[in-house]
Amino acid sequence: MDTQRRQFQLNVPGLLKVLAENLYSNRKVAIRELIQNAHDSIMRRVIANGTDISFGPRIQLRADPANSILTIMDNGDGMDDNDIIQYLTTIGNSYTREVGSTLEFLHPERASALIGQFGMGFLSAFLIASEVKLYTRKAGGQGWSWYCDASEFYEMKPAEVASVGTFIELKLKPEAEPLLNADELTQAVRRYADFLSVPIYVNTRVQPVNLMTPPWESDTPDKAVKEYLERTFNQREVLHTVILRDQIIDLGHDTLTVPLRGVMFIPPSSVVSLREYGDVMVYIRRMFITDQERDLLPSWARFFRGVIDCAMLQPTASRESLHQEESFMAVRQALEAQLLAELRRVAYEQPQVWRRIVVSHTDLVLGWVTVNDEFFDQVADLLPIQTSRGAMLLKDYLAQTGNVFYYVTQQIGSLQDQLLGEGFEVPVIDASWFAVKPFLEKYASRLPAQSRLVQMDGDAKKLMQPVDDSRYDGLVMFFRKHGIVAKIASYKPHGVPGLMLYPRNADAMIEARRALESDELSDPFAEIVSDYLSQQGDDDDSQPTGVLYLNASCVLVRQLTEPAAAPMRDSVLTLIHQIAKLFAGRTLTAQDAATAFSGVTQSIIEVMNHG
Amino acid sequence: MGDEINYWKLFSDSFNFRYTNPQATVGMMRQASALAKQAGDLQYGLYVDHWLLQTLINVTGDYDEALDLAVQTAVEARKRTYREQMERVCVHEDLISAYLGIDPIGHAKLIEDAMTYMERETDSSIECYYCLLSLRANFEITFGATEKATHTIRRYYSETQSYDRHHFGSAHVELCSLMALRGDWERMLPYTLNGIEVTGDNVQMQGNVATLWAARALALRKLNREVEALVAFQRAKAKADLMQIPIYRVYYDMMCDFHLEVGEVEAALILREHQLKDVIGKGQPYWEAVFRLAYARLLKQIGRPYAEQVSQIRQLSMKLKKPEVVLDPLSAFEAEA
Repeated sequence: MDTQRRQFQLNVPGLLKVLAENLYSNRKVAIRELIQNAHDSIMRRVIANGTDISFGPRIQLRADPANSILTIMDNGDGMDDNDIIQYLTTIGNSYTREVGSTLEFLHPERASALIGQFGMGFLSAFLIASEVKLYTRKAGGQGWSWYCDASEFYEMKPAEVASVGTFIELKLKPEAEPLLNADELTQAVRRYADFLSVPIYVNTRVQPVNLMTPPWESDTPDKAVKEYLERTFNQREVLHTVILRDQIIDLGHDTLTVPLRGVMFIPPSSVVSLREYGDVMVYIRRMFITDQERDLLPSWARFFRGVIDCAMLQPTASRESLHQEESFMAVRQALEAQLLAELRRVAYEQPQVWRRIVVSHTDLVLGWVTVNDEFFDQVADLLPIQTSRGAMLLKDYLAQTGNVFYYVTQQIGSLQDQLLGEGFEVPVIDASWFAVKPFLEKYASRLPAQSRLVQMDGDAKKLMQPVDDSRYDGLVMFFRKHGIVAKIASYKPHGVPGLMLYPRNADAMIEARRALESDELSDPFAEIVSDYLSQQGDDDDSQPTGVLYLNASCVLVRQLTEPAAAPMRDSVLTLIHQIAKLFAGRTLTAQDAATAFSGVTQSIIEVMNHG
Repeated sequence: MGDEINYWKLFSDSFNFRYTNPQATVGMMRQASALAKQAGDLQYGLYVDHWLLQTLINVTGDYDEALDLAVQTAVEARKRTYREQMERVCVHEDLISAYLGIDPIGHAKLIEDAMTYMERETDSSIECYYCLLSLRANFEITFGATEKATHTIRRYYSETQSYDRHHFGSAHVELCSLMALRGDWERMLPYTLNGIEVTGDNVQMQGNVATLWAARALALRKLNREVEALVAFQRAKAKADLMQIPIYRVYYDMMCDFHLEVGEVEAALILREHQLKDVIGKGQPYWEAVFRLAYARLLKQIGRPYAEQVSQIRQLSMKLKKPEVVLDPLSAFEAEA
């Protein structure tokens, strides 16, 4: 059989349904698409007129709730029958894209005024409308009317059209009727087209509802930005604003000028200290794309928010998000360079502002400070850190401790670790907050002088000096006889006779052993858990039962080595052990605690009897 | 500091950082878990621990901490408190994943038994079923068991097709890894693009996208479609550069092979250095040894000293149940002219 060459058949209603229902996440984007088409039509007329705007460019939206009709009218360059067939009703052909590409090289500023790219925005009308009528006329040309009810056919015919431009009448679907509410419509226009330079009017309002000029391009940008932030972000007082400008980035073999426009700001501290921002509202050629772009800001800059307009960014077909490609990375790099430069400037020239920024966002800044060296250097000595003696700056803290960071990572169960710290008469840093430990490590790595980090929970042994003295052998033997691992060390505070220290995962190991002993795990997992336990160290300090460290610096412990103490020694040692266990509070079941209390009581009775 | 934060808020916020500052995510999840348990909300604690494990295993690759937590959590999950909780199943898979990341060959029997048990206990009505398929595919590819892997990946691919994009995207990565293993470049190509489309802009799956572009670049270069290969390579690199977390092993393998195909040893060396940085000191002795050997090969190829790598591999082998799985290839490498 001969090869047959056939053309694809399009099921237009099906395609409309797919595009309309699946391409866009929100049906209000139809307003954006239609306004954008109107805007581009006007821009094409302006370009064709040699930038003459004496015809008074305008877009008019009118709602007719009684008949469920929404109309959009522009006085752009309109369409003839060829344009309607070639562009309006051919999916994927974009008139604006074609005009834009011819202008791009010689007149980039004119090309940049055009937004459309995909030739499919008009389809979005069927997101909200069951029927669309269109009337249009080019200057000096025949007028045309066009009609489609979302079927695969449309009708077009010559018509009397009074003025140059395009008039679209949408018969709204019931679910889109809220758009007939003037406030709803105004809100949609502001959301999508606030910065379009063509004035947009809604119903009988005499003032355009869109700003037209982005605040950063206003003659009085500081005032305009302030008003804009209040209106758009509900931010009356921000800590700092950065008005973006072109940024040159180094590509190695070349440079690239990234056309950044917009404003970034640092909000005051939020009610919830963890609240992070970092979301950027994105415009491309003044057309709204998204208000939730979270990858454009460098990761350390989550305390910023803002709005950016950059023609280098590439929208996805639905124009509700961005392609994260090379140009996206270049914009991100440019933004990072500019924010860092600005923060550096503020740190040197406006130290009070800088201090407020850092103090207001301490938790957030701490979380991010470790990922950028330059940012770290700017904030490290301004961040207050919580310690057992209140908030302190690290440089002051290190002056007290001789360049040693003593910290605990858990608030619960770290009292005895903090006790050891107090013995050294140093404050202990509360590193239970997720970001503190990485910050300390980074700070230590960048100190010119040698420094040390001592984690007090799980690593408190570092605060003890081992003691090798045979006088204490009897005390250690007593415990060994009872299956308790005891060691002698010297540590502060001197009033503490003994402390129990456990490996980090002691509780988990004990629980795992219990589960294995009582056969509560399914076979393959019991084998894995046994394997895990067998790989744990077999030295004394790795045992989940813990090690009792008797304090050779404590008078009581020293006295227990004297012959005179012999009659009461066992009772007192038991007392020391049980109190240490209770004080540590780890690995204890209720039964263990009851046994410990019973041991304490018995020992006290014995001591009293001897007394 | 932090007392005013609810643990659930802390946990939900931690996801914001997962792919940009994973260490912050880990810290926040640890804290959320501790606070939940302290408040007596044990179920939530287990839920957070599962996600913490997922982050440690799949995002930061920190297996030292993952192993301790995975054992602790699997043991905890035996209690009646968690009987109705889905994560009770998940944490068992997390434990298998942890063992896979640490010493997959040394622990092969333990892993195989545990997977078989879980497969018997889990049906396709819960997501864990698909996670298990993914684990098995990974396990079999690690062993170079292409026939078994083909069978598993076919199932993973066909069963996730109508399930969700996350697993279906991963199935494409597994499929492309397998095809690379078999040198099936022509057939791989459509799957790379399909996988990229399936994955889309999902921020959680950008590692998959980078890997699929890398696979595509390699396949195109193997097929002498050089211009397209370079474009795909740029896409892979751009995606990977955006990521602030360790990237998948397969990505590095594909990208290195891409360079080596035209003798760009230096470029491959840089990639292997990055890959090594991602695993050093993170409790993955088997993989660290494998990557060091690949790195040593490149060093040898361009006449640079590699004794340090050999010594490190020997040390790492001592942490493995079957040291010979890295020592034998090491001896063979040393014996090569």
